[in-house]
Amino acid sequence: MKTVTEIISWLNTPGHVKCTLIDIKDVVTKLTPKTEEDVYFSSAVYNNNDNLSYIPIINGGLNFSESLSIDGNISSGFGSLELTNAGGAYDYFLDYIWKRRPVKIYLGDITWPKSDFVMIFDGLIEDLASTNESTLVISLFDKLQRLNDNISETNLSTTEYSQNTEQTLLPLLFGECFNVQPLLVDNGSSLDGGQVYMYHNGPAKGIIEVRDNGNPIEVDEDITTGTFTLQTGPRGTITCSAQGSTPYNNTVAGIITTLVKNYGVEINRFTDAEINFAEFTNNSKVGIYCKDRTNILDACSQLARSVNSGLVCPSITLEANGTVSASKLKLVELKEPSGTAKYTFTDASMVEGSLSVTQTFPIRTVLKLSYCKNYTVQTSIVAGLNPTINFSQEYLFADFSDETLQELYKDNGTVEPDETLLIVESEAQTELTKRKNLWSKPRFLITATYLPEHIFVQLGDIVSIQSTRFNLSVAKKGIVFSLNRDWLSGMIEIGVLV
Amino acid sequence: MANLRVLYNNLADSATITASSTVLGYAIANVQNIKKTSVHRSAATTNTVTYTLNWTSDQKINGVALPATNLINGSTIRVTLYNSAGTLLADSNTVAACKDKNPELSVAYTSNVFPYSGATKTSIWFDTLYSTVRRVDITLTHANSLTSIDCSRIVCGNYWESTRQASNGITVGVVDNSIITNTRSGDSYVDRRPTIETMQFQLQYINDKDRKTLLEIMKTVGSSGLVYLCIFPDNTNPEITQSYSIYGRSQSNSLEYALYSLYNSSLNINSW
Repeated sequence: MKTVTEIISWLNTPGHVKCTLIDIKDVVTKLTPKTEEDVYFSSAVYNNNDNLSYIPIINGGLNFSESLSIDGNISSGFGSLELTNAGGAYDYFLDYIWKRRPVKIYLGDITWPKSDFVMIFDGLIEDLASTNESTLVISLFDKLQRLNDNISETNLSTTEYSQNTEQTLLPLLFGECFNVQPLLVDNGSSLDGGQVYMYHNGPAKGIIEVRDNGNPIEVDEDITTGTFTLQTGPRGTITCSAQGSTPYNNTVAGIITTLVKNYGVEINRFTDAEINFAEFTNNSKVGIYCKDRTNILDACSQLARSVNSGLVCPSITLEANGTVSASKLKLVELKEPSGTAKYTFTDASMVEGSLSVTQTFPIRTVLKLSYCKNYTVQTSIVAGLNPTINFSQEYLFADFSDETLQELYKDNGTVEPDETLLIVESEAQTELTKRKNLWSKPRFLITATYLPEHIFVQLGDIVSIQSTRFNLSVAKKGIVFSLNRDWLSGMIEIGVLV
Repeated sequence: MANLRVLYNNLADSATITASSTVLGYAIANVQNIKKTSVHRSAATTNTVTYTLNWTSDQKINGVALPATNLINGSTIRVTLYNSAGTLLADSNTVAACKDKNPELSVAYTSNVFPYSGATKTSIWFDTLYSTVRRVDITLTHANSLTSIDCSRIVCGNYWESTRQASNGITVGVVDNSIITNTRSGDSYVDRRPTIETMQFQLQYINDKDRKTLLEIMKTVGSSGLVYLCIFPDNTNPEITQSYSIYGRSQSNSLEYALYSLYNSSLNINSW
């Protein structure tokens, strides 16, 4: 495989002929008996001698879009491949099963052996459809869709506890959570003891405090099963603060790693080789309690959003040695751009007429951050039982406001809080400062189409952008916020938050 | 001197074809479809390949053409025709096949560059029509040793030859679909895309017999079928023969009544 440097040099060589190869694995071509085959498409004729038959029918629509989100919602990448189907030559593809098949896309020159091609996309097929008489379209999405699944479907009926006549889902707790309501799994009859409550279905680090209507009580704890047994019957609502799943981890990256590796449908789980959180250095402590049916993507989104970050699965991963490897999960922290720029964008690589300001982000003159989530709001607790804790409000808050900015931007100063799963006050303050530095000054999304030499740019990369327009005559640092790749031409539309 | 010849009814598509060697994945059946990029590839253990075309009934043949190969200057072709008894009817002997088509792309010269003006054309024309042909052997020898020969298509049949040569002003061209993008700084960037060849010419004052044949070709082949057309079939310079040959589809052809029993035609061919 060529290195990134070699590919960029080739892309700038006059007369090169780009060829995009698409390898699709395990397409079901026949149901009885079930037959799975690999299918190969190309954008240009590619007759090599490795016995792979590339069908040269990619005629357009070979693109893929990825983006970050300022509100922390997870934004999956999506794209398409258009296949020429003149005269219905490939109508039989409609009978194949393409859904969720892994697809890899490679870029190289028509004169190169396949081993020299470099991977530019590693994702999944959503499905194949026909948009008109002469075109078939394969929709693509990134591997994040493998997380679009419930964390767990394990319920009480699968256990030996006395309450196994119920279908209630067993709870899961990751990191540290305050005042959660554990699930009553046994009324004491099967174990000939007190009532048994579960806060995490599996080995847990342990409980911090158990409360009966807010009043701390003594219990018998079993950390191997994430349960505790009451020593006397309950007087009111049983709640607890606890540290969950082991091996214990209470950072955003740590909990997401636990979720994507160990939960959801087994074939969709990620391996260590598919996760790359090495560059994500935010170690703020968080926790999440899942007692209802919870989507893994939603849980990851809540965790990442807590530190103003996004979980993405870029098309490919650039390794330190200058080679490209398969797509890996990545966390991108949205903060004021700083550090060394990985790429420099200038007029020399911007396509004429493509530069524009596509979004102006609102100034935030007031910020309110919620943290230390109280999972069980209790307004009727007798005063004085536990005076240091306020059970009646869902969150604690960290605030920032700037009256000068409010005056400048005619802002009335009211704001909805940014909900987080942070649990430590000082870290909530740090997070607040980070968001203040990012949003208390004008921010723009500068979008332009760039020559193929920037085809390896990734979401979250710190870049430097300079142009004769939009006050960019002095280079500004920015963070790559959106990407739209056209693999047929190699051109790439990049949105940079400056 | 021969006038322009047109092969419009390809008998090779109804033949049973075998090749003396084949690389797995590049079957000889590929020469019987109309995809330029779908090729037969001979083994690189030698630089020669022989295609043998067999029919179960007698065929009328006097022209054989290969519209896209990776042969280069110095490569040769030999075509022999046989009847049902295996008796040799005609032998072209070994002759030069072509000249390099696109030197720039000749380093790794395979069918991968066919869409980028990289294919060479070669043809053999017999002055006599043989009506009892059961077998045709086509032997190609690449100028480079130990080189696979890629061949997209075999065309053979009974050609039509105009009684008058195409008028002066024959125009050949190349339509390059490459996309040129300019940057804000004023540089340009080229995204190279496939090319097609074009040919336009006039046939002036053709007789009534030619008019009828030409009209028949227009109606039966039209724009949907492929024809192999060679303006200078007997030129001793294979580069001239190749440059003024085209395999493609006719576009917006017309016949003009010029004088009593004399007709003009304007032909416009785009390559496949």
